[in-house]
Amino acid sequence: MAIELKNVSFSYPNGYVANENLNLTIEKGERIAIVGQNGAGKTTAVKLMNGLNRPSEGDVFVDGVNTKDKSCAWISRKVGYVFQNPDDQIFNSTALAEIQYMPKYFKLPEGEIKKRTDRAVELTGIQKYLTMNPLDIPYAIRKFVAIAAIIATEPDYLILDEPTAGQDKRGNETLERIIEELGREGTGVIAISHDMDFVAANFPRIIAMAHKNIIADGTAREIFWNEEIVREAKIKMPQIAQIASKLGLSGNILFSRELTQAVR
Amino acid sequence: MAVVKLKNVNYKYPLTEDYALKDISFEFEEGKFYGLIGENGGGKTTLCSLIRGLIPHFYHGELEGKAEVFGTDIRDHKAEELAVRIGYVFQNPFSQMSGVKNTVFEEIAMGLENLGVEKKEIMQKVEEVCRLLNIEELMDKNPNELSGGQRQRVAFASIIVMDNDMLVIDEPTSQLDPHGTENVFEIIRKLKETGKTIILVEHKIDLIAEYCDEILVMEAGQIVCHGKTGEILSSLELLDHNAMIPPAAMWGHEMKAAGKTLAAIPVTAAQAVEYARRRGGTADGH
Amino acid sequence: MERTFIDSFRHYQTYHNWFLDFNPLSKLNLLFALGFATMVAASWEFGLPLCVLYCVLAFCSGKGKSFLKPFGVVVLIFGFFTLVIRQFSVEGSTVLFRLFGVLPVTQEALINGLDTASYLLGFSGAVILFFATTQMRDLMYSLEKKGMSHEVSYIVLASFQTITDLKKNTAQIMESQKARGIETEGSVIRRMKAFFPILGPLVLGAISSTEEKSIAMDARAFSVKCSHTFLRELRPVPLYEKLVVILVDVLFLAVVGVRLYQMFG
Repeated sequence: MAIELKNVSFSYPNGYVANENLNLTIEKGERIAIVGQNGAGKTTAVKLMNGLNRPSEGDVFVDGVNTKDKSCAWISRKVGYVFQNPDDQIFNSTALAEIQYMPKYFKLPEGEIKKRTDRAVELTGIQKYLTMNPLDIPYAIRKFVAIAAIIATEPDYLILDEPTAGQDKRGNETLERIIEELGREGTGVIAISHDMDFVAANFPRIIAMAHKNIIADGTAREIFWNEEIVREAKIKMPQIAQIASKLGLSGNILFSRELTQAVR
Repeated sequence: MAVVKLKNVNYKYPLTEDYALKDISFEFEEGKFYGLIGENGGGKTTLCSLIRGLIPHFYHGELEGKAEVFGTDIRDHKAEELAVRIGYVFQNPFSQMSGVKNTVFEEIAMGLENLGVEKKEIMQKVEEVCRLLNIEELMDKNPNELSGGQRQRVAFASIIVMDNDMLVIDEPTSQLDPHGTENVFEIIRKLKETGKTIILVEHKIDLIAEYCDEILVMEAGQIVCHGKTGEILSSLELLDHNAMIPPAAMWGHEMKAAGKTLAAIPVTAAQAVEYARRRGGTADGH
Repeated sequence: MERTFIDSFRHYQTYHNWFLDFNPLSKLNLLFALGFATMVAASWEFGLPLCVLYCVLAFCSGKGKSFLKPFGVVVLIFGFFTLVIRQFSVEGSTVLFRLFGVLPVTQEALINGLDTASYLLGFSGAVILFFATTQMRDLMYSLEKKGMSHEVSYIVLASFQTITDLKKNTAQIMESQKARGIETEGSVIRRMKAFFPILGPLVLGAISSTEEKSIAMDARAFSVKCSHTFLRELRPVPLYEKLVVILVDVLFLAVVGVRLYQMFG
């Protein structure tokens, strides 16, 4: 069970090449972050994973099924994708209706709908907003309504595009909980993010992209302590790593407890 | 001198029950750079709207208490004039472009055209701003075809060119990548040097720590703490107010708990490095 | 490079073409006078040469393609249909030839058809040529100079960008809904089901971005009441341009005069 990209290239109808020869396998239950500058091809790459983009060359398989053979809506039951802007998605008049829309669309039994809704609401912590019109809910929390609506479809893989943008401390904590919980249950989580501290702390595997390609695939330590990758992908070291680096410490430090140990 | 004076200010948006601002008393002083942080829905943007006079002129609702900007009650200001004296840059780089100009140069000039400034002066000022913000290479580009990060720089230029007395900047980088964010903060640094009063709302706490003179923390419509950047961001109390502190400060507290107290709790990477060096070296002998 | 670009605002804007450089209002006057004249004249001897003139003007100003494309469609649809329909609706005795050996094509009906077609084409050609050779912002500039409010000018110009933005947003929203599992392709019923999930966010997005935009524009002194400066300026109308306009207006009045004389005299 995995999402596999095999020699995948993608170009838009106008000829603009957005991805070149991507090779990547994401196992079910893995937590992966994709980092890199805007325009590096991160979003086109994840759109290949759920069939929104069809490869111009190569093949994408989701649990063995070639995405070329199925509609995006079909694949989305396996690979859920939360867009960066919740307002592209939300259209129901209450948050609850928004979350229940897809389970109802799939004509699931009443009991199942309730079970899924409860779980999605619990995970995202939006209990007190359920009866509100999404428009009256603050933007940052509206993002959790959008996430809950996708979680309720119970995909095997969940793609999050810039989940931490504009989030406060509580929002970040909720996201960390969602990612951990889903990962534990065996759902694959793939996040595009510019927040390096968040990425380092929550994702065992990181993919760095630059100029349409995957330039590195490894652990946070391998990625952030490789000067060349950091420069080429135009990313930043997490702050603790920056400090360790300036102090000339060895051991590829990422977290503050490691720094505390290393400094006399 | 205080440019904004707020005393016991309460505010409620139309058709809502709860106050969005509760008993706010604060004086913003001329030439200082304030960071406004705290939870979402805590009142940061509402406070910005009040200072800019959008409350009560654009958003009605109930405003109580004393609120003065530039020595005049907000309610007595002409909304359209206040909107210009206090520059405003916000999150969404797309809705800040006028959509009616074909080049960045004209886009930036639009505010001055509206004010009836003489053409020669407009051209000189636009050119200066482009140079200051390092966007000369964008001048002849179509603003509607730029990337988010580029648009945000043009949005800054379009506001700064009007030589505002004060600037309110609301989460300017939440839609940008690290590179775009760096560019925007580079702009903010230059603004700071011009000595204008600046109020910045931002979640990226490491950058707030590096740039701001003073910090205000908001929670549930109230200002729950305020003070010098180093004092506020080094305090663990902030975590109880649903606000973050920089990783460097977290580390400082960890060091203290481990019995390796630093000269002070650092809030920036540079401070952390300095204090660590002052302790005299590192465990692995470098 | 940079310098020349900036300096271009120091001078009057020019397209280096005598017809494109005509003031938009002169062009408007000119072309509408010609357009109305064909309508009043309603004769092919007047209308058809005029259509040729439009083509010549379009090519002279380098806008041949953008003029001929829509105009060609109009010629095909209106021109052709009026000619065919008139053959059936107008009785004629002079049979020119028989189409497919049976259908009579008469001279009377042909001329009647040409007359009708020429005033349709003469007028629509004028409109199409005007928009093919005039930039909207130049027209708005001239109208503002004549006292039109800059709010109206802004709304007209911004609406073009809004259409582009709406298209982009629609594509984005469609992807977002597809990605959550809503089928947007296939049977009519499936498409209908996808209507609200797409329209809803589109409308709400438009409303919130309008609010944001109006706040952003107020920060750019949009609502401050004072006379504006124009960074881009068009040249003052030269004498010969005025003369051309007057000449065409006189021609228009002459056509009206002749026509009135024919009808009542």
